[in-house]
Amino acid sequence: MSKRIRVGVVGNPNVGKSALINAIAGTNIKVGNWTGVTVEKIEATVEYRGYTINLIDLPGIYSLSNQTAEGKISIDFLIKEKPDVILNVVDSGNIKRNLYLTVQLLDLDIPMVLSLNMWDEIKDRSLEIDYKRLSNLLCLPTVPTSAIKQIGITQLLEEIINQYEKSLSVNLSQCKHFEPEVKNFLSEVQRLVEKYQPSLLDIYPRRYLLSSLLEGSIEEELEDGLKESISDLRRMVEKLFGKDVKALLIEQRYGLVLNLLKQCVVQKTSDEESVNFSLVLDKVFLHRYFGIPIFFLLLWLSFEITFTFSTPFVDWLDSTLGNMSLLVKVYLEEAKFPLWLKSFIVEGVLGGVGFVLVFIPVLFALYIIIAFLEGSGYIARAAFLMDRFMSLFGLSGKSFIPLLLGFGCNVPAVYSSRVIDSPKEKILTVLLIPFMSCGARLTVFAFFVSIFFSSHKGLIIFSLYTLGILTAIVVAVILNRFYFHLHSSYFILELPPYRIPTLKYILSISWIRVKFFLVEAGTLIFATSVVIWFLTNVPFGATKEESILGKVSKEVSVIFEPIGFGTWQATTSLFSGFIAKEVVISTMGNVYISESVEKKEESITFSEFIRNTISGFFESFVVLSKSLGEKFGFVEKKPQEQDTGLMEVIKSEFTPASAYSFLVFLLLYTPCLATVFAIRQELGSIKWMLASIGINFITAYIASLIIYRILS
Amino acid sequence: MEKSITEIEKGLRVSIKRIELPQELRDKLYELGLIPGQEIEILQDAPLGGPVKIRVGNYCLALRKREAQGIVVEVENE
Repeated sequence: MSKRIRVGVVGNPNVGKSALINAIAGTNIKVGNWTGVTVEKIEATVEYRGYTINLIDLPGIYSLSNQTAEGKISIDFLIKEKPDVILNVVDSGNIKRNLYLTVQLLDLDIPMVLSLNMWDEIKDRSLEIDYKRLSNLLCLPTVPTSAIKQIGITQLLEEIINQYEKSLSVNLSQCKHFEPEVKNFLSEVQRLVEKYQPSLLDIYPRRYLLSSLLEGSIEEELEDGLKESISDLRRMVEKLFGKDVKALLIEQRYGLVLNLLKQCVVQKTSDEESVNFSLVLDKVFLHRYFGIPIFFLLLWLSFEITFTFSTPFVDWLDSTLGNMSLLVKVYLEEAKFPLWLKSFIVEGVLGGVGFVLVFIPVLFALYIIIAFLEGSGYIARAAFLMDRFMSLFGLSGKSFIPLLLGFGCNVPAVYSSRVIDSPKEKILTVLLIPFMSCGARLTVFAFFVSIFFSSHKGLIIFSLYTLGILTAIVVAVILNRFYFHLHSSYFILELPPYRIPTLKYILSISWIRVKFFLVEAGTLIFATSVVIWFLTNVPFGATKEESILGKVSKEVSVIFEPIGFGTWQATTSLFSGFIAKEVVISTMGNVYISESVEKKEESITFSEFIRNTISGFFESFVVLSKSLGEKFGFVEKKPQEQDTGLMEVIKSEFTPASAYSFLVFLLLYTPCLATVFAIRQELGSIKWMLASIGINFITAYIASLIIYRILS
Repeated sequence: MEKSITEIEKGLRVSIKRIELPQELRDKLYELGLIPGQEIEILQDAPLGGPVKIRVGNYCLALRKREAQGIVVEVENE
């Protein structure tokens, strides 16, 4: 077995760490969550020179005294789990602030490699960095890199291995950094630690420990004697320098950085010109009056694109799966399987698998857009624009980001709420996330909209998204007024330069996220589909109406009478929607179809199946280009052919008004079990989980009632 | 003369004198490079009293007006 090197990838936010990891490891990347803390964790593995190099992407931090929950993950990992090597990724164009963290990282006494990332960008800015000299001064191997231009990738791996091998044979020695005066005080701290609590030196890296103790920023329980002596010492330092220790240390670190830069960096143009391009774009995107309309336009455009691009492929998958169940049915008939087992395999199992698969195109398209918004730097602008508005409800622009992510999927959105510092603000944000209509709900909307509102697809779907947002606002105001009493805290956010993320990166991160969804949600959806099949088919041979779920739904359906869909079928579908929104349609297929439509006797041979599948795939591109043509007016729009089956039944069972009311209910009630469990995990309480379910159900009922009354 | 950065007209480059904010917030800004002597300027503000966009060296930062008021800068006398 090859030797394993664990590399912690550390850097400021927005320095392109993930893209660099992607450039190093290709698609050999795993997404998951940090144990116990549920923030997205990206891990990549590369084999190189007989080593297995394990790159762990740590959440971006500006310093080691970071107080955000995300920052704590990185710091805890560096200090407690101690990676074998640190890969410090630095934005070459913003080297001063980035090196501040580097200087702190040196205190950890972990072998380190410095990556001067986005090296290609500084060439255009006529900034010159003598990286060899910087490397000498910092005593660190320093590699200029670029994920886009694929610069320095193998060199990074070489240096990581070199540092690792060196650390095995010789004792690590980092350069000395602090001025003698402070150094004396740090030695005094060391003497005190050795006297009162020497065990601290086993837990923490020495220099990190000493400066953290002097600053008073260490979390560890301290002996009284140590605590007192250190605060005496701190007062002495403060008297001597005329400022508090923390400020003093920060200034000294910056002093060191400035000193380094003076020796290694030549800037030919002024700072102002170096950020020119982004300044111009910000004049438009952050415009006092046009910024917000542009933001909403982009949001709307994103969903139009998602919808247009994914529809042909969803249709293709759908028909392929239909053909496949026909094919399987033929084989099962030949093999003389009993009727119930045949039904179980075709409807329960294949139906479940199919339902998971049809999801891929929509989610993939949506994740691509989200990855683009993230990578381009626009998400930060969205937070900037929305800050004033969000602060009305006691939230900050930062809460807007989880809410925005909620449109992709509520589950990661709930987890991303970790960026919010204030706990109350975080709880409120998390409670609002379910009102953000996720990708899963979109599939149900799309299905209904194509039946009832085919001429205004985009508009109707947009109206549902907007309704979700408006409801969230009302709920936020009410909750804040009567419970949270929030006045928003501070808001500090870097506005990174606009960048065009590479297509390769966008595609691979989106695909990895889709895969994560398939593994996590896929299993759940599949299991649900099977369970629902049992509930709707037991006792076997009885009609769906007499099945277990049918009987329960019939009792419950009365409460949906006033909002337009008091049938047991609709109720059953909503039951399954509580488990996951994506199973609503498959459940509908189960409860409506076998009920009202006689199954057509169709059959298909294996070769026909293969032929249809392949030709159908290429046809999807034709359909896509046609529908794009329609959007831009090149191609005349033809009236759409209606699918038979479920669509026909739904058309006869719902009126447009009750269909819209149904969609509103679906939009607002509990999103899915996965979100429910995410909320429980993230807020660490069953109380808030139940509150979330209650709030969603009540809101959904009230909103549907009002809308149904107005429409009918 | 000392002024708060919010009193400075947009686009004028000034140098930070000190930061008058609660310590936690001040340290955060310090670590982001807003140390005494650093040159900054206000670039833009959001509508309806929203946050301001300031340039710190060669990167941009968004802050609420309230926090920005605590940044005291040195202006040359006219």
